[in-house]
Amino acid sequence: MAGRRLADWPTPRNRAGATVSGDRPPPSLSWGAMADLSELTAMIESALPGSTAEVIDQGGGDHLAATVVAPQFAGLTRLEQHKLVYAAVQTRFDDGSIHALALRTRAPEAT
Amino acid sequence: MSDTLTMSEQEILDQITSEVADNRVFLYMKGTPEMPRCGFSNQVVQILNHLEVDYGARDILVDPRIREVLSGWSDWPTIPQLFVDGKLVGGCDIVTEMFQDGELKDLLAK
Repeated sequence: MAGRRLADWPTPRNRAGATVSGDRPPPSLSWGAMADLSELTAMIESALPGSTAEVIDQGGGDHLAATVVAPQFAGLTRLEQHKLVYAAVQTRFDDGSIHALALRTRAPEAT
Repeated sequence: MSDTLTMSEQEILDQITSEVADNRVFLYMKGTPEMPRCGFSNQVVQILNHLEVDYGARDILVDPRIREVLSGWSDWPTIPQLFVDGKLVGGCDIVTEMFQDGELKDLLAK
């Protein structure tokens, strides 16, 4: 999916609520922190040793999707699996660098 | 559905626990099954309707405290939340994935 175009962003407004013209918001307005995909991958893989994670940007830099395969998931419900992944990256939700993280999780195939 | 606006948070929690206990399948959503007000909630509604499941639903938008109390109780931050047999199954991602894999149909057919 392509990144969001400028026209898709809400019209910037200053603190008084007036529309701000120009291509870029004034410094007081935030574009939203961009998530660091490789950092998120590392956060998930270190929280779940032996796992492999792939994190992609679904647009805008803060709507992400991750596929995680982890041995810790064996025997857990999907809900429990997702909770483990969310917990690993909670700090990036808290600081606003991620707005949404769609997940696909599974345990490795039995060998 | 009763109006929650005059209820205390404890009464809202009691209502949630009885809804989840009394309905085999219960969905907390934004809007109603007839008029969903969020794409994620709508997707779960479409899946449940497709599977021809009888389910109860509550619109969490009518009182912001419902969502706060629900998420505190279920330990799950987002809406929608689908409960089956008293247990949280998940939100839109999980329900969709389980539907695609046929697991949801199996769970509901039990």
